[in-house]
Amino acid sequence: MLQGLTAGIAGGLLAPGLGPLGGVARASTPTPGPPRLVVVFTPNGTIPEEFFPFFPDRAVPLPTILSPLERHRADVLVCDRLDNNVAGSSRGNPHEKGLMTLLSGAPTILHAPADADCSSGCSVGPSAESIDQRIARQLLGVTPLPSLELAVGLEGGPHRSRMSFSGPEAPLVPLDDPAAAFERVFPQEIAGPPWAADELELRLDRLADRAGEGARRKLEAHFDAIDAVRQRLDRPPVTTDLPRPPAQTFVYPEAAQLQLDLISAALSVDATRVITLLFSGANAKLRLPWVDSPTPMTRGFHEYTHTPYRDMQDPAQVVVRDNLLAIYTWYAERVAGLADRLAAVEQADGSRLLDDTMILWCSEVSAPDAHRLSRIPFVLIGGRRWLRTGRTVDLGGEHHTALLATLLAAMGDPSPRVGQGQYDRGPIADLLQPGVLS
Amino acid sequence: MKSVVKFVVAVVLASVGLGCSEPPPPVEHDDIVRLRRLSHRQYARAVRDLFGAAAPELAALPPQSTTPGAMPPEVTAVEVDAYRRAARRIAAEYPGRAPCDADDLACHEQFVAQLVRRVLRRPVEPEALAPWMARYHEHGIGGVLSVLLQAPEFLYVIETGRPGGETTLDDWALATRMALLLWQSVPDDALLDAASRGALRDPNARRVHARRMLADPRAAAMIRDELRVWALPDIDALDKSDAAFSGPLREAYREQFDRFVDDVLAQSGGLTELLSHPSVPVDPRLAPIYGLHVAEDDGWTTIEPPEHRFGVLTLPGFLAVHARADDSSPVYRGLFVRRRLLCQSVDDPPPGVMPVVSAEVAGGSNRSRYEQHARDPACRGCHEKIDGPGFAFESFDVLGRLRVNREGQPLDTSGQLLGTERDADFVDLAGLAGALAEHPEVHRCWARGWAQRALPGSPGLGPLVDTLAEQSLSGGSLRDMLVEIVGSERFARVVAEP
Repeated sequence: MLQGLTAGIAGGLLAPGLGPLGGVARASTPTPGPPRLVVVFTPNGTIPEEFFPFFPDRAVPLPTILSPLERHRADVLVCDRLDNNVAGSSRGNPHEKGLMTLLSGAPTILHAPADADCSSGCSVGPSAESIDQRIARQLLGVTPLPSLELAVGLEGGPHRSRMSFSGPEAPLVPLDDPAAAFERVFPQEIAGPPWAADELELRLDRLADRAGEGARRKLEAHFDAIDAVRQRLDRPPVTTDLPRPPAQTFVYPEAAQLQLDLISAALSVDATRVITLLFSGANAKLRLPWVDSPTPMTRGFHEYTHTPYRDMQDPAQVVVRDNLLAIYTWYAERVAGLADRLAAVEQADGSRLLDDTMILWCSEVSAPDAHRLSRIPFVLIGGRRWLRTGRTVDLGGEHHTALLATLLAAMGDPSPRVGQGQYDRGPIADLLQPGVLS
Repeated sequence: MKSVVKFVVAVVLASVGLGCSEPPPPVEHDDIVRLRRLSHRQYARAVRDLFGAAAPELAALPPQSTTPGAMPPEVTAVEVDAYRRAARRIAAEYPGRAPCDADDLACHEQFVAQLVRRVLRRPVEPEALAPWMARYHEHGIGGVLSVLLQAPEFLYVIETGRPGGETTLDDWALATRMALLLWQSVPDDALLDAASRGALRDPNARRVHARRMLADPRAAAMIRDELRVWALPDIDALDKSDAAFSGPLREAYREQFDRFVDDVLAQSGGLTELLSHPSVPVDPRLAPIYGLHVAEDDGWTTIEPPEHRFGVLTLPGFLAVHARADDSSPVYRGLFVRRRLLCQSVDDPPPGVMPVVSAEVAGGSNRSRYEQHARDPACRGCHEKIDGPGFAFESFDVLGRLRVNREGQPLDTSGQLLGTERDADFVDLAGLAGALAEHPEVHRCWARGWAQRALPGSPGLGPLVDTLAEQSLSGGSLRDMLVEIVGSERFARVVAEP
């Protein structure tokens, strides 16, 4: 299935001290830590021409947009030519369906168009759970939180700002208020009588007995959610040295810093092993005036993206190219900043938290000028115990469901397959360390 | 079996003084056929109206869908935890104490039963009061309230009926429907009292209550909120690169919109008025947008702008929201007309379609650039219907200021409204707004939105929408429309969801 792939190992470019295989876990590690997954979504795709390395086997610098990851080069695994054909074959807004299918690998459910909240037909989600939630379900009870959904500066309605789904059309709510997010990981209990979870569950049960199928499903979901909160409260609280963020920090770059700090802190104390971080949401329209660029950021992010790459070569359009590159690179710097944080955490066996943590960086489209869904920018960073990092792999137009299956395999899922029909794919062995699939 | 119990409940409650003289007859069905969670906005209004409390725990969650009738999805652990923390905090801060002697058990029971009725929006069955009393004796009224605010009977709108069929809604659920429609909140004691008497089954009694509720400030707030998310979506995130733009201007846009809606819809205004009202409130922050001078200490004054402006489509806030960060956009403004005024579904461009080339390359007027849509057969089908009305707005810039030319080119604001049952030619926004104000499809879309807010996700609203649309087209007010909805037969019926 994966014949014809060209896997170039960036032999000459590995960090000092690492062998030619770069990603192999150190022999001195007594017991590998549990795998962790962090998915970072940044909006509006990328400029593929400035993103994908064409010559991974040569000692050339990383392309412009990836340049912030230069210092993590040995930990980077760029997945070139992966397509989101699941979204490509669904109806609906390309940004929205690109986001909903990104981690689920399942088509969106499109309802009759209501008037206008969603742009062309209302969808609140895909027809299957997302892989982060599939992993979280398997980790239920292992960590205080099965998963953590975070965001920075969400905009637009739910159809543009949900990436994790616990089931068909069941989106999880990402927290973009750093104080609320901090509270979720490191709760501060309120004084008062004990929580009456039993009483609430009893009432839900009694109602469910009288309810038709649709209503019963909602009540059962409520019951499960109460259980999840109770499980967390029943465990000894996790603590951190990280200061509690002030309420309502919505200044974008500050909120980003706080959320990245929280991810590192949460993983360090094993509060959870599955985290998603959504910047803005699909089709982000925000203006990023704080981004360092030769010319002022007069337009919103999305407005810049509708200039075709060939037009950007026009001297009159160099402004667009400069500003877009600055924005995309700013987001890459956030991803690199997360890798910095995880690389700085030394584990009991001397390895880095980054060695156990796979960061998947992705977006809802590829080249956004024409809403392309082929060659989605997928980059893996870290997790070298499971991933063969330090290279670019040309996946030759493979469905992105194969990458999702690969991550399931690395996270230890016993049956790592994702997607339906032609999209039903297993893991890409070439991305994984030997032995992961055995 | 359980319906008999309910009958007894009502009698007992009447006897302890909660209800009034005449008990309601037994409800026909005990099966839950419709269930929807309160939106975060409804929750916040409910705790404010019930206890004067805020709900920052829910405000910290990302916004939910604002589509009329949209169903909140299954609850998540994050939300359950927010409910839990909000309930505990509100309960801890609750100052209510029973006005009873310590040993007057009946008095305490009545006090607790009253609180349960207010929060759960229906009376508590006598045998069900015992657990609440046990909690009351152990943890006080705060202990009771904390559980009430997390109880599914508070968090969900529960409607009972005949599975797979249609039936009459019970009195308490009817009261809740009325409060959610007219206030985006929960019933007050007067409405619950009316429910307890069975009075709401009478359409005329419902109309009387609706008029009372519409006179309450909560109704004006509901109307402002609903129209703001309809016409000024994401106003709080509005950001423009124009040097004249600022946070205070954004606030002024929002406040002007609210005041405009208040002025227009307070008494006799309906959709026609909303699209054609000639005067607007302005304040010193907005004066430069209108090319006026308003002294700092004048605050808000109502003017008839010297320019050619009327109705919601010429409010600067509307024009700024439906624009890009640095420029006006015929597409964004045209899409509002198609989607929100005409309730038309507009597909997004298919993958691989290149956008209109931008100003710097193409040169010429904004209009000439967008007119490339008309030349390209891949674009024309949709864009002639979007850009047509969109061009009418070109006389207003990204901040809503009037302009007579652009980049040295004279403006052409003429166009055609196509793809409707009554297409029209126009020369400017006045012509377009006039055509829309008397367009049957626009009134039908408006009526549909309100019917969906009243009966979210309910099937078979067509006949009701037809009636409402007709009244709106002949100049009927929004308030009359809401009264009509509440008094309709359909409003008191429940159709089982699958």
